[in-house]
Amino acid sequence: MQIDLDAAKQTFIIEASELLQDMEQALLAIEESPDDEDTINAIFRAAHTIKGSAGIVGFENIEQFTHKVENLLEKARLGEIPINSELIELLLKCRDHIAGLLQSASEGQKTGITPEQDALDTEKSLTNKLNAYLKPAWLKPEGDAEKTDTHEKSCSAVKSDNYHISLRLAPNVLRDGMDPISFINYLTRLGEIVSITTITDAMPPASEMNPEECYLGFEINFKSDFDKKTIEDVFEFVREDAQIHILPPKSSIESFIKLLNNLPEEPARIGELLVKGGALTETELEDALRLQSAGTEPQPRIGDILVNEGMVHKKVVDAAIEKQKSAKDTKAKEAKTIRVDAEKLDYLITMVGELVISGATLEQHARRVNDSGLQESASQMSRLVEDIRGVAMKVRMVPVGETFSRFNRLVRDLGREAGKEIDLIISGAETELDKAVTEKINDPLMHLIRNAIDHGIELPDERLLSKKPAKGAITLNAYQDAGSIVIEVSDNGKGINSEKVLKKAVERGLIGHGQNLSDREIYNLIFEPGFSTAEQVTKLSGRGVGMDVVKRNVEALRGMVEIESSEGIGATVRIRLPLTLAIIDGFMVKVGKHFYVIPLDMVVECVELTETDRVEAKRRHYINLRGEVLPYVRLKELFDENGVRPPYENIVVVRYAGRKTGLVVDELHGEVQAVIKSLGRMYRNVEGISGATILGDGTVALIIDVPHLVQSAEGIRQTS
Amino acid sequence: MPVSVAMTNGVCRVMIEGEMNIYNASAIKDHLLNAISECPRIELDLFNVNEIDTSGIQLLIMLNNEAQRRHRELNITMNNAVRNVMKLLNIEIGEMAQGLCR
Amino acid sequence: MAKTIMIIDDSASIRQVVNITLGKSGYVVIEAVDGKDAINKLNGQKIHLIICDVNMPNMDGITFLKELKQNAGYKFTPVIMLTTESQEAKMQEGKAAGAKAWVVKPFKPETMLTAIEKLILP
Repeated sequence: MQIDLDAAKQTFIIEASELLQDMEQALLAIEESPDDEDTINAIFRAAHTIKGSAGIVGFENIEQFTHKVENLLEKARLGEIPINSELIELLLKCRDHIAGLLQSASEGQKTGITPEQDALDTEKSLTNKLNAYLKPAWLKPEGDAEKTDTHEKSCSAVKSDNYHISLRLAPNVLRDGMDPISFINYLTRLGEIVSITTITDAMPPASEMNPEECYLGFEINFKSDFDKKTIEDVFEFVREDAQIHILPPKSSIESFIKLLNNLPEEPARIGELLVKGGALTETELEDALRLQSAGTEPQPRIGDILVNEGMVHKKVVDAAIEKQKSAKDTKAKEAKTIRVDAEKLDYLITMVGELVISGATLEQHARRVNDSGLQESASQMSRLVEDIRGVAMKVRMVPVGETFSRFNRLVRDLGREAGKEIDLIISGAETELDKAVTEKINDPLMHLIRNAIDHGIELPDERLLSKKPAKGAITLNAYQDAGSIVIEVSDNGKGINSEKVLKKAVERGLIGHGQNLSDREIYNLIFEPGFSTAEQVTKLSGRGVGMDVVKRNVEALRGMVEIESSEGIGATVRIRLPLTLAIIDGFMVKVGKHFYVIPLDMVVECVELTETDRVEAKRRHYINLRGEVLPYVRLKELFDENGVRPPYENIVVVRYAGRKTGLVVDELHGEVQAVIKSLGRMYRNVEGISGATILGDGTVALIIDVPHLVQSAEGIRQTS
Repeated sequence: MPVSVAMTNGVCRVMIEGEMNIYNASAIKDHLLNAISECPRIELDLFNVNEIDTSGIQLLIMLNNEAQRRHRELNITMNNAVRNVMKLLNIEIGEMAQGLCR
Repeated sequence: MAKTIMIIDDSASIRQVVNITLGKSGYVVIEAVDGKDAINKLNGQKIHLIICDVNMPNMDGITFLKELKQNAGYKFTPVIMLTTESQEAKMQEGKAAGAKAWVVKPFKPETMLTAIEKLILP
């Protein structure tokens, strides 16, 4: 059962990360439009939910800190604190701190490490800043218009920053199993008991005393950041038949007078206690006693009392109603989505994959036995399975926008740091991508954006000189293209200086002197390990890990990366990723004795390799396809397949990233659905193969790594 | 019985062990009142009390009041379990012998 | 010394949630499936607090509470009664029988812990 609470924690960590993400977005948005109530509410809700759930799953540190943030947001929401850039900066830092706490909570859950000193220091300084905002609100409780002048005159607040708690317990409380000591002890969790006086006045003479009855009362000066409700709740189980008064910090003198009047003891005596305990100053007590004995104390209405005690504003009530409403809204929304363990989804997709394979087997058998009824059923089932496959794949797809919008903050912060003004423009946010891919693409994107900020976008002065607007722009764009998802990171900066790149590449020994390279090839040099054109290593991107890591990460996803640039105008890095990681529609071919599968969405057409081409191909590695130069790769040679050359060879024309290549194969076998199985570690780096699949009859077919072959065919063409 | 009483030469030693709570409050009250009416000097040993609740504290307050009223000498020795509760409620009797706020 | 808490509820899952939550906070937890089972399990041992459901087979929470109040060894034991929003009448009956602490189901583990911590010293 231990696992269950851990699972809840895990859920919380995921949930809170998302909320923090929303919070960041909203904070950035509110910087643009500070009056947008919906956005303020969104920020508030995020903090509110994090606070609430953190407590339930037992991350008290997160709960406590977030609670303060929530208090501040509450005030901002009610318009008591102006929303300005200073406040947003603080809130962003608070958000980061919560994220940090969450991070260490998530690590701590595994390792049991307690937070570091750094984090504690940060928390302290942030808490001080938060308190600075929160304090003044006590000093100037909103002067509600309803208050009359005379009232206001005598309504001065006392100096004490602490709560005053006055307890007179019911005689029965001990018999009911309630021990006041426990409640008082519990108070120490919520704050500091600055002073406490135990009142024994009610104690009868020894002979009459019933030892099972409670005769004690307490006057407590209590310092706490918690709200009145929380402190009241400490006594919720003993409230019945008891006299409990809780005066918040800066309560009015009236409320103290009322307290004195209500207590069974002599007002002057309790008054002295209050002075001794620090709740009132001498002068305040004198005033109070004078007013009290003169009987000038107005009989306040309940609403006034509440307002006097700094407890309720009309606005607060409105806000509370609003809060309940929004909680309901969120609930309704929650019901529409469910959180599913990614592992379960993977399992589902694997199973669907197996189903696809069995479906194919069934269809083959049906065809063999020549039973038309069976054939019909089998093909209908295949269609259904295909639908299921589609749905199952869809389940994993998430819009890329969420990943994109995370970079708003990065661009804002890094831009400021570098003294550059930069807008982040997002388009194609609705483009869907496999969830696993979005997770893995995050780092490469971050690196590309850092690069664009650091090397691409010029300083405002420089831009003005080039007759560009001072504010630069980075665009994140996503779209679907021929079975792949394309993600572009573009900037309207200075572009890539190919001469500089070339010079550097020669310096680094990546290429020889006097080598003639196309622009594309020059840009590709940037992806070579150890390449960096930054004239000075900066904090932003000169970190030793360069574009080679980006390339590696993208390739690990069976993707590809390329650069386009024009000097003075800007550069675009284009990442191409496969639509899905699990199942592909494939085109099956045979080379030698083995079957191979080519991802169908990359297949353009199949043509016969003519004898003329064969002869010519001995000299050069391309053929003439209707007047187009088509480089090709002979798979038989590439994969060392044996066997005689069949009388007719076929070329499967594939296209990737706008370039076509021919793959020469022996036989064409038509379309199949292939469930991608990754190759064992031993074979992971085999050139030209990206995975394997099991066919309906149990044979294994290898999946052709088209992007890789297209590139190497291109290489062959260029060197020849 | 968690209360033991020994009277010698006008000194009454009362030792309470274990819990000093509402379950035995009545019994303890009787012992304490008995002691204070018999002896001019009371030595209350709370060293072996491992748990004290509000009823226990009330009895100590009662004993202290009664001792002052009857001009008896009262000494209370206690361990940290008891002392911490006294501190929490800011009650100074026995060791400090300052009496209470009345 | 670890404090002992008894949870009386006919729902195994509620007992389990309470058991984990309190167990993690260092309490010893005794489980009972209904009032009758609870009475049998009291057995003279020290119980610092009892959490008790209202609706249970065999012996319901209110009857258990009344029996507890008759038992010299346990009559002052703090009891947290578990109730649902709709049991106002039962709640009044329970309050009259001496149950002052009520926690509404469904509750968060944290709420339960807080309630307990208010009632008994750690």
